[in-house]
Amino acid sequence: MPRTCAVCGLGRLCLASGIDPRQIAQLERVVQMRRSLKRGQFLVRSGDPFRTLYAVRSGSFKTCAETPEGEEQVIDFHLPGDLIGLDAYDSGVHARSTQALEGASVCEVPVEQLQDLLAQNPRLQRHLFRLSARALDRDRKHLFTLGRRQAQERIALFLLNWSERQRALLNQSDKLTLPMSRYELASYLGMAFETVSRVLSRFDEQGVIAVNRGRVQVRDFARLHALAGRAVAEHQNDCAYG
Amino acid sequence: MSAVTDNVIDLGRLRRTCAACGLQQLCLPAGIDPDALNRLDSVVQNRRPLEKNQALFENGAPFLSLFVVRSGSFKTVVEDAAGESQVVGFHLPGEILGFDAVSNDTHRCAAIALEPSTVCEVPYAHLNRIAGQVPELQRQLHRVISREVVRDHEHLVMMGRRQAMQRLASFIKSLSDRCARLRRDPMQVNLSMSRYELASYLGLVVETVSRLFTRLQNDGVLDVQRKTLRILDMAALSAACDEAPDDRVGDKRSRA
Repeated sequence: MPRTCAVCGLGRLCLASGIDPRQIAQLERVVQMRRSLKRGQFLVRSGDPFRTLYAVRSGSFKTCAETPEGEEQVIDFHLPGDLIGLDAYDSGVHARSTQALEGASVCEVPVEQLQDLLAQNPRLQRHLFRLSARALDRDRKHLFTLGRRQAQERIALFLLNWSERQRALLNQSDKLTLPMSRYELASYLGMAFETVSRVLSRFDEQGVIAVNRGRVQVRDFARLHALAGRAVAEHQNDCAYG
Repeated sequence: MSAVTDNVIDLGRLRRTCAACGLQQLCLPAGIDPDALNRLDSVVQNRRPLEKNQALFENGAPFLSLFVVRSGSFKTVVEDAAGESQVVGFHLPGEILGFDAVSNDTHRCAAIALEPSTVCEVPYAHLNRIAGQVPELQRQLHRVISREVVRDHEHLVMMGRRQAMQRLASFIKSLSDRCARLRRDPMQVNLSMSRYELASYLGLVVETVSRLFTRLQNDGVLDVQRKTLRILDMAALSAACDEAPDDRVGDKRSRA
């Protein structure tokens, strides 16, 4: 059964936010059926022509670049409501590969048809700009994280940023689900695998978080903020953000 | 006669329109028809020139307008409440500033002039209104945003590189590519930022950046004259973007 934009729980995070029912109906005609992917399956590969914008419906994805040494470098993780493919709009070609981290699904939005729809629909267009800006903002937060010298600062910032994203999605910020492996997380944070494991264990021992495989429970936000080099006041401001 | 002609040209320069702007193929007007161009032009405002170190907008300021760099250059800086900062971008003529603020109507970074600079101000509400009527402008906006995303991704990729030399070399290479797009000499790159700002952008300590410049100079890859770089050996520079020599920064800098 197709699940329409009108009844999709992601409405407020995805394209269908802030537009009226008639416009949602127009959007639904453009949005194609969901496509399901298995863990490890590629959604796009570097070099693929850009014809479709993808909205993550369920599960999660990673976008990677290849290092000169031939290793994979994770540059982004995508959660439900995120759009994939915005970077390819100018060049017409996907520069990076995106792969499912777990069983996942996407809605496909053909770009040509989306453009025709946007031309008649300024509100939807404004909303798409908003979603694009959200992706830029996320990239810049990650750049800030990568610029921190201390491993514990980077990991604490990552956990806080992930908690914000999860709060926007599930309205819950203390129980974090990390769908990526420690290797993928290490690559994303520009650190050695051993360092990530060591720091997470230390945070666990100190009672800041409780780690149970892919799940992390934040026990002490104030200390996590301190470890991230942030003042606690910022967290309160950040609650309004998302 | 010639004085009169000069006068006319000067007046034209004082208030340059989008149609007469040399950056239009990089900027918002690319591909839109003359009528739409005039409408866009009517909402674009000239801002007073900025001096070096002057803020175009501050972190946390309400978002009202996008800005396009006309001349000079800017850095964008993300700061946290504890006062730590990170340079997240350098912006050259034709590049747009402020778009990330669209997500929640507040600037999430500060934009600071690195040298005397000028910008065009494009009030976002007006821009949206015109874009709603001119599909080509809307597409061009998507293209411009997409370029921003690509630049951020390239920066993220660079920050993930373990070798300090790879980071610096890819940065110089990308500046050279941006010069070529501005139809400037790609072999001569002007560094308007300080070594500290550059080090922050690259995620390195300033001593490392200085040492790497010296090495590139000694190896005959670059001629470094303070703020001006002359690329002497482009092939060697490109190779340095991918090489894996001895300058590992990974584990050393991430040790807690």
